[in-house]
Amino acid sequence: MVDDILKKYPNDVKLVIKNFPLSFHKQAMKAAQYVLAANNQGKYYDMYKRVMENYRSLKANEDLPLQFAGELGLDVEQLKREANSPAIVNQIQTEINELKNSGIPRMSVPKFLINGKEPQGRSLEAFSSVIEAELKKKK
Amino acid sequence: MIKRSIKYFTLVTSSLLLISCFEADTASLEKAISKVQDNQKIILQKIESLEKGQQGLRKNIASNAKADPKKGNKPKADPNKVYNVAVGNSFVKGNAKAPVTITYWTDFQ
Repeated sequence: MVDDILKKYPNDVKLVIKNFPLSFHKQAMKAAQYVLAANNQGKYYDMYKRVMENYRSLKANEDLPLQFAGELGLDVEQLKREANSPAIVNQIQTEINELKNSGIPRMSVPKFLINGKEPQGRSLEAFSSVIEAELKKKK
Repeated sequence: MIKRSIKYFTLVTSSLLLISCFEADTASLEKAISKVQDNQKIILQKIESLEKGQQGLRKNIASNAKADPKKGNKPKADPNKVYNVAVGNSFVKGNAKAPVTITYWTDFQ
């Protein structure tokens, strides 16, 4: 759905992805680390999509993202190393805190803000109406 | 005469066979029915315990709502409230200078 929004507004909308791995999903934290580490090799979004599409298999194999990394042609050893680096662990913690400290009443994921506002629903229409209103304000 | 007795003999044996077949069928049918009945008993028992559980849940919900009437109504997203969250070092997809920013928290669960 978010991809459809980016396609619909290629110049007017950007997507900022932040992690909020729930503490009871151990594999979610690891996956977030691997995906962020893929950014260092310019493959964040490819990695993100692969992991998202296969999140059900993560529980059985939390190192599945490494396999995806290999398939995407990334340096797997570098990815492994960087995934556990303080920079990446801290980045995730920062993103978690950003949601926790945002004042948003319900901290459930996925959580979307459009220019700081919570859309009323997760449909293309719901997002578009907030985006259109924001664009109107800017003009 | 012999022909006739053979005829009778075949008739009698075949009807006997048929009857025994019926008997065998009835026996297996009875077995199947009793199996279904057994299963039905189990299902009914399960339904009964589910109903009991549901009653308990209803009571819990009712007492929770009484305890805190506000709690029953989840806070709806306020469409006009603005929560300022910086982009920071997070990953950005799309035109970095776009006027509209979608901030998206995700979890791989």
